[in-house]
Amino acid sequence: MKIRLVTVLFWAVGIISMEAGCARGDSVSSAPSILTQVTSPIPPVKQPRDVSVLARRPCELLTVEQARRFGLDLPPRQYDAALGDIGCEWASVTRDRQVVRTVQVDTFIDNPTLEVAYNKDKNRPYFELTDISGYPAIVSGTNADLPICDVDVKTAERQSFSLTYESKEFARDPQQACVVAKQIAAAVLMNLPLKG
Amino acid sequence: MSSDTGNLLEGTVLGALLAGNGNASGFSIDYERVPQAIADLEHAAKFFESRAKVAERLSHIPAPGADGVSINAVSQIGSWASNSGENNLAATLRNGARQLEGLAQKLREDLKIYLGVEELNIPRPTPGLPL
Repeated sequence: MKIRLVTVLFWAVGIISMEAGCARGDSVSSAPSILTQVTSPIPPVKQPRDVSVLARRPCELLTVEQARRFGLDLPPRQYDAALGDIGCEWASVTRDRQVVRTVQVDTFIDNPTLEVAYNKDKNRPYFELTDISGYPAIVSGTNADLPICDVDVKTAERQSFSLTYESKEFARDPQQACVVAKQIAAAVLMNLPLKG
Repeated sequence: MSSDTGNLLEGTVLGALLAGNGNASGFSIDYERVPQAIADLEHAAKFFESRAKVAERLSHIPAPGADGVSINAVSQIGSWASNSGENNLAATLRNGARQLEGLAQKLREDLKIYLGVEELNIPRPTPGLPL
């Protein structure tokens, strides 16, 4: 009981301190506050899946068969996703080497990716907070006229994967890129083992 | 060097490049090297696109501490790297990629007309380029 009271006091003091900081005009005004974290719009994950298992083997996030089904016929290529992480890219090209479609997938561990993405991307020309196969997801695009779609899926608390899909075939119907991107994200999800 | 493009490519990007005038004033290219230029431009576009993806990740760096300075620094760096607008690193790189890709696409179309073919023989990008 005593411990709980102390915890509550710490929270209260923390909130008051931050409020006081803002009132003084300190430079924390654009930082996420404790209050924002409490009211996160991202729902909790019911059946957590572990992305860390494939974080160092990202090209196994899609099977060969799944990649073929999505028309990605080139062998997957691992890439440096920065900050020590790696991602994987699948692509298909025409006979004269023109890239038709690409998928890039990388993972986040110990990172509140969706919460950050929600705050960062909610004003994008295309933005949707949704769920994919029951997992919280953000589907967005930086340019509504381009057939490029970003999907972030929360697979567990502080775990997620991020997928970017582009297809020149959808140049006249850019929204279609997000339809396929969601299907690929659902396929990736199924390749992740359930946690614990 | 070829500057005799006839009327076929008049007003096109390739026509201007081959003739060394118009938008491409100041330089011209050998049409035999256009396929390699297309491959390299597309490679450069892909490189820009991949860097844009890295810039996107920069906006997800967690703050190293819970103090206001750390949180604010991460927030500021994050929105400089990527946010909803156009004035950030990721958007700039993506726009650059689109422009390079657009130029390569125009060259592809023009070269097909020039050669009178349906399909081009595009080589691999020049060795030593990044990515």
